Formats: sequence, C-alpha cells, structure tokens
Amino acid sequence: MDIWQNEEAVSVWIIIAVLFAFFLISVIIILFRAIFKKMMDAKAAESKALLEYQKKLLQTSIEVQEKERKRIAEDLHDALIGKLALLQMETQVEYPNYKYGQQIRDCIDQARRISHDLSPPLLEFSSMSELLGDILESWRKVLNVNYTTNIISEVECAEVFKIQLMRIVQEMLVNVQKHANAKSVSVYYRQSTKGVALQFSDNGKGFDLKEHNRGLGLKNIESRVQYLQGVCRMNSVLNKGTSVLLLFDLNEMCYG
Amino acid sequence: MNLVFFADVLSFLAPLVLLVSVIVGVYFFPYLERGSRLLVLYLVLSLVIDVMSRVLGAFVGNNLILFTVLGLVELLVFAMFYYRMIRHKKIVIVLVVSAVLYLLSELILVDAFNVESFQSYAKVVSSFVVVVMAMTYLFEQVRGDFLITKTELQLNCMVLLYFALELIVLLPLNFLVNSSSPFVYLLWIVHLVLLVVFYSYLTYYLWTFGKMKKQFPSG
Repeated sequence: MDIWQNEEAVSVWIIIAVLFAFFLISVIIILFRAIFKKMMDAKAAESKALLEYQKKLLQTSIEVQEKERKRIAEDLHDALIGKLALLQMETQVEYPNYKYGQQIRDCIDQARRISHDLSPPLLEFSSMSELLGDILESWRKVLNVNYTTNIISEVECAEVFKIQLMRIVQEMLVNVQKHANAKSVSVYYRQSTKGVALQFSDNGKGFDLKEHNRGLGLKNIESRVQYLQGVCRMNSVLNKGTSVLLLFDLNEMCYG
Repeated sequence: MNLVFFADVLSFLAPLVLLVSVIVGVYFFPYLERGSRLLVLYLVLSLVIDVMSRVLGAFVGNNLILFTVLGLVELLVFAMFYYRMIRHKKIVIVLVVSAVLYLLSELILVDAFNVESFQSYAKVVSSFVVVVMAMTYLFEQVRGDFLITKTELQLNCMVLLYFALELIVLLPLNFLVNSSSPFVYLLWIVHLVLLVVFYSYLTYYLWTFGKMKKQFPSG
C-alpha cells in the first residue's frame, strides 16, 4: 500500500500544511504591523519636527516685529523728536535770524523717511522689479550691485507680496553687510505666468549651512517665504559666497 | 495534446532556463558580490542535479534520492547567503545545523529505491528553514534602520514566496510520485512553473545586478 493511501500520512501532511499556513499568516501580520508602526512613528516624528519649526518661525516673527518697533521708536526719538524738541526750544528763545523753515523741512524729511521705510509710497502703482530696483539703488553706495530682470509677462503682484519680498531683499542686504563681508551682490528677478523667481548671490565669506542655530535674519527670511507659500533654496561655500534662490508659484499671494 | 504531453514539453524549460542563468552568472561572475555569487553557485548545482535526475531516471529508473540532495544544496547555499546578512546569527546556526542533521539522516535511512513507500520531508525542512531565515531578515530590516534596497527586498520576497510554495506543494511527495490521478500532473506543472519563474527571476537579478556592477564598478 502506498503511503499516500494511508489516512495517518495524509493527516500528518494536512496538519503540517495548516500549521505552516498559520505560521506564515501570523508572521505576515506581525511584519505588516511592524512596518505600519514604523511608518506612523516616522510620520509622527516628521509632524513634531514641522511643528517645532513652525513654533520657531512664529517666535522669530514676533521677535522681528519687536525689533522693528524698537528701531522705529529709536528713529522717531533720535531723529524726529530730537529735531522737534530743538525747534520748540528755539521758538521759546526767539532767535531773530533762525531758519525755522529749514528746521521744519528737515523734520518733514525725517518723518517722510521713517514713513517710507515703513511702507513705500506708490506701492500699488509700482511694479515689483521697480521696487527692488529702488531698494538696490540705495545700497550702491556701499556695495557693487548687479541687478538684472527678466519680465516675461507683465502681471500685477499683490501689495502684501511686494512688501514681503522687499523686506526679504532688505534683510538679505543687511545680512551681506553685517556678516558676509562681501564686495558685490548679484540680484536676478524673473517674472512669468508660472511664477516669480529671485536669485540673490554675494561673494562674501559664506557660512556652514549645516549649522542649526541660524540667526534671526535667516529665520526672518524663511518665515516670510513660508508666509508667501514659496520655496527658499540656500547654497553657501565657505570663502566663496552665498546664493539664495526664492521661488513663488502662481497663487493668491503672488498675484492680486 | 494532453496534460502529460504538455508537462513533458514544459519539463525541458527548467534546464534551458538554468543553462541561460548559468551563462549569465558566469559572464558577470567577476563583477558580482558574494551574495550574488552564491546564487550563481545555487543555479550551477541545480543544473547539475537536473541533468543527473534525467540520467538517473533514464538509466537507473529512480532519481528520488535527488530530492534529499537538492534539499541539502538549497539549505546550505541559502544558509550561507543569509548568514552574512542576518544579525541574529545564532538562529541561522541552530536551524541550519538541525536541518542538516535531519537531511543527512534521511539520506542514510530512507529507502529511495522503494518507490511505493518513499516519503521524504527533506524539501519541506530545507524550505521551512529558508523561509524562516528570509522572514528573520525582513524583520531585522523593518525593526532596524531599513537599509535594504528595492532589489534586495524583491529578491528576498521571491525567495520567501518560492520556498513557501515549494514546501506546501512537495509535502505529499508520496502522493505526487505514486498516484495516477490527473490532479498529480497539475501539481507537478505548478511545481515546474514555480521552478521556471524562480530561476528566471534569479537570471534577471544576476543580469541586472551584473550589468550595473560592470558599468559602475565602484558601486
């Protein structure tokens, strides 16, 4: 009689097959659970890191606002209020030949300068490339500025976008002056129906991108770029310079 | 054309695929790393066993002993393959040593020339050990840093699938050898298809990996 015709042999085979199938299914279930748990842990870690980053950016935003308020207050106090106080004293003393008109004009200029600093005039009527050109023009006294534009399509940017991009460029220029020790900067602005690109490069001393403790200026830039729903790509080589590329897609922030 | 004829024709596909895989393996052998070289060794030995089974079948009329031999070959090759990859090496050593002892005892004790009473669990045990090693490796990858590449993952899954199915299909060996039911031929065809698919995948793996290593020797 063949073994396969023996009931005991067949039972043994069935038991082995069922036990093995059970073993395989159990192992597969445990494996999938482990994979799923690992995926969830990775996602949780990513969310936590993103939240921490958002908190830091918010904190930076608040710090920058306070710093800006302090600067405005100092500007008002040191420049404008000082001149107005002097003018008041002089009117009380009544100097006969004193040029009150000139003093008042100086005060008006100071107030205008502070006001323009806060919010540039004719913002809604000026294009983004013109506004950037104006900012860079004022820096030509201290830096060699090379500014080029590539306007493929004439579209209007929202005021909020214009202000934020101007602040970003101003921050980058301040960073170059304070930290980079650069002699020249190159700014390239490109505008098309797909979006806006801004490349800012300097020939300064560069910095280590892997440093986690970024200064207030860089965090401020990241915060503003994130607010505009853009992308910021930074590249820096020690002793060679830094290059920042900002990309903004077609969305409500960019186009009014 | 009936099922038996179809099975006979299909049975020549296995050595043909093995021959191609050996040629590919030998061609890329200098560029392959140790794990892939073990796969080439496995394919060479499988081809030798396939040829021997046909010779023994033709001249002696019985080649059943080669089931145990093939089981031993598969066990040793894949044990060496996974030993270098698995961190918990004690599991590999314990399983493989126990399995080898069992297979050797089968080689000695089982009467391969009595076809009616021949029942070998050699392939079942060797397949089970390979499945456990493949699962252990997968678990280690999932729980660890998961440094496994997509190709390695695919290879591991193919090995797991093949040996799991082999275990189940070759469990009732006495039935497969002695019964004249048409269902038996169907099972042998399933086994043959599994073999051909597995050997084809190993050929594809060696070809892809070897070609890449040849083009980019530094990695």
